[in-house]
Amino acid sequence: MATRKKVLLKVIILGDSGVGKTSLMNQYVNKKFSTQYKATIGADFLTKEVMVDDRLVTMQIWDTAGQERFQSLGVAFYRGADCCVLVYDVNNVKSFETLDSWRDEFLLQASPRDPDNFPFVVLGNKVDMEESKRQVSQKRAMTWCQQKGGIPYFETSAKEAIDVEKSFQTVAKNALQQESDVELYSDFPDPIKIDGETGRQGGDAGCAC
Amino acid sequence: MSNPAAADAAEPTPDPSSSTPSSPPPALQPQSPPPPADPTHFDAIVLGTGLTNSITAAALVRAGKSVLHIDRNEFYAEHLASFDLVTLLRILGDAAKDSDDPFLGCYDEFEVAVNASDGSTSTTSSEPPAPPAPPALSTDADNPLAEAHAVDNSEKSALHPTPAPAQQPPSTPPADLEALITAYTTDYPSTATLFSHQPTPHSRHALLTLLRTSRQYNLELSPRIIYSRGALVDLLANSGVGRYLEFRPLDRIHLFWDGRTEQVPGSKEDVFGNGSVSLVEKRRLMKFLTFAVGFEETPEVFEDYKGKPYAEFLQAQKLSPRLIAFVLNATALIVEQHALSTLTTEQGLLLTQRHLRSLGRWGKTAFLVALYGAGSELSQAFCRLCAVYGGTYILNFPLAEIITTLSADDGGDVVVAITAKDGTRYTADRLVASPAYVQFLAPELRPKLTSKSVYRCVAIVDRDVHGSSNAAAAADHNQPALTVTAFPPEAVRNGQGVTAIQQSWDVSACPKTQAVIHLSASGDGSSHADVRSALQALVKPSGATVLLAATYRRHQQRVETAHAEEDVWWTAGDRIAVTRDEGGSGLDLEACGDEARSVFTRMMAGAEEAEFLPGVADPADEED
Repeated sequence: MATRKKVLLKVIILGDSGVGKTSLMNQYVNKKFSTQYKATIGADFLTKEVMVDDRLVTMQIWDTAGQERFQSLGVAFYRGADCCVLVYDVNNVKSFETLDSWRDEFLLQASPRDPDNFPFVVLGNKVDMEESKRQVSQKRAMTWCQQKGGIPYFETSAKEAIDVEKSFQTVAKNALQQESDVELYSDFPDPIKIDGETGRQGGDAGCAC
Repeated sequence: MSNPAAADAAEPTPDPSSSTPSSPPPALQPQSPPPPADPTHFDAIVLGTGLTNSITAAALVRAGKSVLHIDRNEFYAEHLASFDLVTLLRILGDAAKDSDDPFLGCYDEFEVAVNASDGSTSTTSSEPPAPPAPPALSTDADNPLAEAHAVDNSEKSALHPTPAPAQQPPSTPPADLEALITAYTTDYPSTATLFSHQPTPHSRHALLTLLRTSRQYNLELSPRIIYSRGALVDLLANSGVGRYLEFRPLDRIHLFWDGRTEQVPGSKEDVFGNGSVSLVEKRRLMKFLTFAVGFEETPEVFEDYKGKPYAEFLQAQKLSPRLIAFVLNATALIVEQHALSTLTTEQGLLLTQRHLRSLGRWGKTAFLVALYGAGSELSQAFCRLCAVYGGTYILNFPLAEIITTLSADDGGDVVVAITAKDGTRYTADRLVASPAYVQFLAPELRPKLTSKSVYRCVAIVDRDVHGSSNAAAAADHNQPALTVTAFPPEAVRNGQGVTAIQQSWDVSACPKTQAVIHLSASGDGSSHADVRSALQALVKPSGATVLLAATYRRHQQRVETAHAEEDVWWTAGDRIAVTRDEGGSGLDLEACGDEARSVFTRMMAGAEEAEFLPGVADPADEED
């Protein structure tokens, strides 16, 4: 029990269907991009170990698994999030306009302890498309982020790997800050996870009696 | 739980014209349907997102079936759901007004009592709080219900900690909460010292204070605990669903005996260290437990008691009434008279064995407590697995009817169609439904439902009810323990037992240092008075203050099946199954896994051997 705490950060990605949430995750974690769009199937969460300020942390990035399509993301999805990434498509003004409601929904469902300082990061995705198709200007997006308390903003392309790495580095950093005060240095035991390991051990994880 | 995108998004009706699977979705149709070729027809439609149905949906999808999973409610898990304080009170309040609704209609006799004292203990005298001026109650500033739900109103930072100025038009209905308080806040005659008599300004103020921190509560409609080494834990481990969940060990189990609670031994050391049990009793108990853990090996010991009540067998083992209560009430966790008298020796031994085998895996008891609520979180975790593998989810579905037709041209195949009030229509070859959906079936296909009354109380208390009344110890920053207390029938006035579960901040049930107590009683003759007096007995020794207590009655429905041991009802040539969807009335959830497995097996009969929830690859290793 007295080991140094392993840091696991839960990051959730929100935004309308089709803005590239799954692609961004895949580009960041697997360095892969597929031009074939499919509504999300088979995407669960991806984990990646990153160094943040000399500290090795595991980032667990949760996809919506398509449950946003009929507005049916349950509250469990939001629980315990350390950072929320809001994604829109710069070529789709509606996906930008719904950011407000995604942010509100997050605050309502996740009910973070300090909603005013909860770390969001906004990504304007698909900047690889030709400029004439662009419907949301950088200025407009940045103004919105400023109004919401200075949310970090990045323009990304999952397809061409533009600023994906950089933006997720900020996600990790801000998520860690959110976590550090409370959990990182408490002696409070970690909750129990039941995974494949549990099944294989079939055994006495906790008790020495 | 209104959805952000709801206002702007496309209707839930998939538009077939936009479903070109391999091309990017049209930019302005972000809600385009999933890619299956025929998005309105599925192999199976599952109605109700309780745990049985959620496990079933996930299993069907993992076996390659297309699944549409629907709930009429805007939340997951049906009667296992978990809510913040405002939502819980609102739902129970709505239930009283909407008794025709198949879900809400299961709840009635709702009352809320709040402690109207100033919140400090009676030993310290302090100024009574200035009761808020009545007009303040009708402003948004004082109305957490409005605060918590004002997110739709995007001009206003609804979750801002400083109360927003009362600038909203008075037409927005904070009156809702007012009405709720007035209608349901009453006193408890039997506990007059703890509760106010009528909704006074003091009690309103006390309630509003609690409601302001509403989001820090996760209150279950039906709290459950999980065997550390049961089939359900194995299922969570093997299916990969456990990765979505977090648990803490249950700290202790108590038995209420001779007017006080005593801890039930959780290990050999506990048995022998227990000062209140005589040495002879200890030996008999150890002998019995040693037998029970591998009872199948010595069938001659219980041969004569097969089919007879477990209690009789225990008496024959010369266990004292108190030890029998340990085994029956505090180990098997059965407290209802009827269930106790019908529990056979074989069934009872299995329960005792499962309990003993679950000891020592995590913590000091046989059980785990899930963060945020077991039923709610497990259901959603299986739904997530189902979604990850392509299952489609629609909550808040305005179901109008279920139409079942025999298609003449296809060897008597059955097609099930569900239609929504807006005309949306989905069809499937198979249907799995919970009892709340039975009334939407054609009359000739409806199973008979039986209903049993369960009396429940959820209480918020200011400290660990098992803690010391000593103020210094109470101020110790340890969180209240996670406990179960069993009140045997003999201990309760009407001859039906009560179970009580204490939860804390450790499982995100409530703010730090407070505790939530869930009490439940069922069976003939049980009543609100039983749970109230059990609550009273529980809090008294610690001097804990009950800040709020909501009591209500649940009508627990189940389908009548041909055989008493069957939980699932089948019709239309095994194409339609009606489940219980929430397991039995016990405190564990094992029955849900068993039920889902039996639905899956029977539905997949004839198909090539399909595995029930096979393991998933680690997402990190997955290739695109």
